[in-house]
Amino acid sequence: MAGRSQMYTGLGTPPEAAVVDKAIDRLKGAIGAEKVVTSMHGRAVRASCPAPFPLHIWEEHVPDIVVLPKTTEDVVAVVRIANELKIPIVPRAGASDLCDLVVPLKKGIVLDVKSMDQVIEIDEENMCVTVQPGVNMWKLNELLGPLGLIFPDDPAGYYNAAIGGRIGAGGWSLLGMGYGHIHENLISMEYVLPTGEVVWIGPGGGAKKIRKSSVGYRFKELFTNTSGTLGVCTQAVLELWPKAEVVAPAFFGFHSFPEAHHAADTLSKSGLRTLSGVFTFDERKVEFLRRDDEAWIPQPREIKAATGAVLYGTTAEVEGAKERMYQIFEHCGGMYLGNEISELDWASRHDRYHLAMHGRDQSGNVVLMSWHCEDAGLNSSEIVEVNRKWNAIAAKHLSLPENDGIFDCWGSFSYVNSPLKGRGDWLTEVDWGIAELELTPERWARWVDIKREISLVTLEHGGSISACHGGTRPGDVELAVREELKEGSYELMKKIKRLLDPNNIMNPNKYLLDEAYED
Amino acid sequence: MAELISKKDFYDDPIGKDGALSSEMEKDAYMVFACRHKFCREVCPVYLQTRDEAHTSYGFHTSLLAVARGLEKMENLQETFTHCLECGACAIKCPNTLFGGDFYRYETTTPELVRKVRRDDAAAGRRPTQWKAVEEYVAQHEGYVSDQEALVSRWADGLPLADTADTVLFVDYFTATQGTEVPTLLVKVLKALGVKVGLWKTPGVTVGEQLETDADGWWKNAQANADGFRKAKIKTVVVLNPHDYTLMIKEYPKKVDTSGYQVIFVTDYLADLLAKRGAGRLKPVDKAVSYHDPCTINKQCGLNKSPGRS
Repeated sequence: MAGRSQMYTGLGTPPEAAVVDKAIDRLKGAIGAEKVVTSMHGRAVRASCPAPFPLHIWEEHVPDIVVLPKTTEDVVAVVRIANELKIPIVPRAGASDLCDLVVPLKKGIVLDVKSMDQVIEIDEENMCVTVQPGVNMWKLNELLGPLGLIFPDDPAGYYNAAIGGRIGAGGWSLLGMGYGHIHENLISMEYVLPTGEVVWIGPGGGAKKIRKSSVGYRFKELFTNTSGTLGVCTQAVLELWPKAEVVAPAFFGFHSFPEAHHAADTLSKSGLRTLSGVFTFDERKVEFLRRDDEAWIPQPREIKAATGAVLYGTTAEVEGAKERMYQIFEHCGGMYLGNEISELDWASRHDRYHLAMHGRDQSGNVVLMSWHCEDAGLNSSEIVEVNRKWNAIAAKHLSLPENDGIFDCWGSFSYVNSPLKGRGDWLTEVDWGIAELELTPERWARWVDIKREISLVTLEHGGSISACHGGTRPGDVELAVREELKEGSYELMKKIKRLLDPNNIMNPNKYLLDEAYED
Repeated sequence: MAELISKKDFYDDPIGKDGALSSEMEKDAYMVFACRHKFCREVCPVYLQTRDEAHTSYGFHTSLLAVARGLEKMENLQETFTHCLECGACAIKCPNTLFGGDFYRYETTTPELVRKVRRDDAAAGRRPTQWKAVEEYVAQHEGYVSDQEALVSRWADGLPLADTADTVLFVDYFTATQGTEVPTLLVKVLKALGVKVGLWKTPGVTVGEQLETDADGWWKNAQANADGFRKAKIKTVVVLNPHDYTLMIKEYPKKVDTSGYQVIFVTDYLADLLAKRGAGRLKPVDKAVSYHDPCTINKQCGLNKSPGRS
């Protein structure tokens, strides 16, 4: 192995080269050489997730080894070797997360589960499907569609995310209002703990396909949303739903974001059971879309903000609900944007927002930038004021000459957040562009400060700094553990982490959990 | 035909023996890395088998970015770049293409990138494993060419093809030896429609493998083809192999004078004929028939309207 980079920034001590070499030999012997990747590019492509990445220190996040297990037994073997050699493991599934979940902080082994891609059983009678963690939702639904079924988890990364990552990140779904998010659609799962034991995790009880039990502890809550710090999901039993007969999206324009939010909030509380998603675009977002989006460029200038909603269900239900939905939007001052934009915008919801060419400097020139999504969970009452403050932060930082062409703000979306109902709270995000190719340590530090400023506003308004992506990124994580989780939660997290992962091998130092081992 | 965007001239500048990448190449690689949503993955036939994201469009672009950033060397990428089938499914699924292509006139062009890397590797003397097998394959096919007039005409023995015509069929040695059903049926259909065409009897090699391994030789063949069409006053060249067609319309214009004749894919040619002349003496068939264009016509040439018409 090559010598260690001297640039490592002190997040912890990565394994020594001799330990890595030993691990490679052991892993090849245990799971087969063909499942062990040591090439630099094979490791470098697995260093990042879609969140802004510090390209200037890429090498520091390149794992030492990548393993490609196919079975639970492979995963157990890797975990046991890692424990013995005390080398970190970073689980990686689709790697579509936006919270650095799969970014190695201490190098070590990336455990890439994409080869665990088997659909083990489709149980139509009991409406559930059993899969390995590398299965992608789009591909799963290709199998389920002809049976009249769907697995409704619908994140922005629908085409590439995988079940294991969705569970590890506690992912959020665009259809969560109607169908629930991943947590509501996970019945039970097989899980490899950091010490290599295999356990079955369910909603109490050990029955794999039972949704509600009063036996034992409810570990499902604990083991979803762990950011890979408490083990690896190796099999999951998931909910199936009848495929909707009708999908009816509608987009309405408004004169301002407060008007748009009022309409969206009113609709979300209307009691329409087929309402599966409600969302808004603020003024800055609409202006951003006018930069290059052929659907939005021709919209009248009086359209400053927008609201959309989508109904999923039977024809009988949706036809009646559609009428009511239109009435509510129109009553709230909405201007219907037309069938074409409604249907096509909804159809392209997964993959339209991530072009590097979206970026602009203050003169309007294209600058290649990566997308950053700073999301928050907020109560409805706080949305408008938080949006105002976030826009003020953007205006302040973008006016500084040193940030021109380095950062850009791409406006805000908000979505109903509450699973299986529309009431109460929203996922609201502000999107930024970051010129990663131009990053320096100083610029990266400025970026982290901006993120921290945005998250502080969320906390001031009683929100969570992430409804969707997790609180593990620089700029978020300190606020997450010192502020949001300060009333005992973080202390409990540390105790659980140390109890289950005595050697601190599972995705070490996510959530600053190295602190669990300090005494 | 759909307008071709993303003519990335900088792909023609070889990556040198030192493996240094130009700033354009770095930005091109970054455009896909920046997305990192990897919609290219589950559509890739190679990835569906290997489940290794290094074998995808994201993997290729990120690996090249790693070279540009000094983390990796070109000679270590050969194994990864060996896997691509150049089908182009990744490129049309890429958000850069889907949502930025029309507006910015810039899209992801993974098959072209893969060809470029393979070509540059060969020119720089970087040899992947199984290289000898590739050389043997190319040599075998070049051998065909030495006797090509007889070889590429044999399938047409007894068929009513004109000795001279404004329109000629370009049937490469591959189609002429391993895919003769299409040209044979085509000639019969043309006869039923009362259309006379000729056969281009000296089709210079257009095979992509040669472009990747012997670019000079490939361009020499391209020049000979184009010069030959003009000299014979050919107006229309009907191409039967979709790979030939793709390279003739996407690569030839970069270095070869393509004036004086038009190149048309066989499906478009037939569709035009039927639209202008009707079905003639063709017998109707009372069956449901589906037709599937070759993937490159859609994914790499932008011809996506049924039946293979722009």
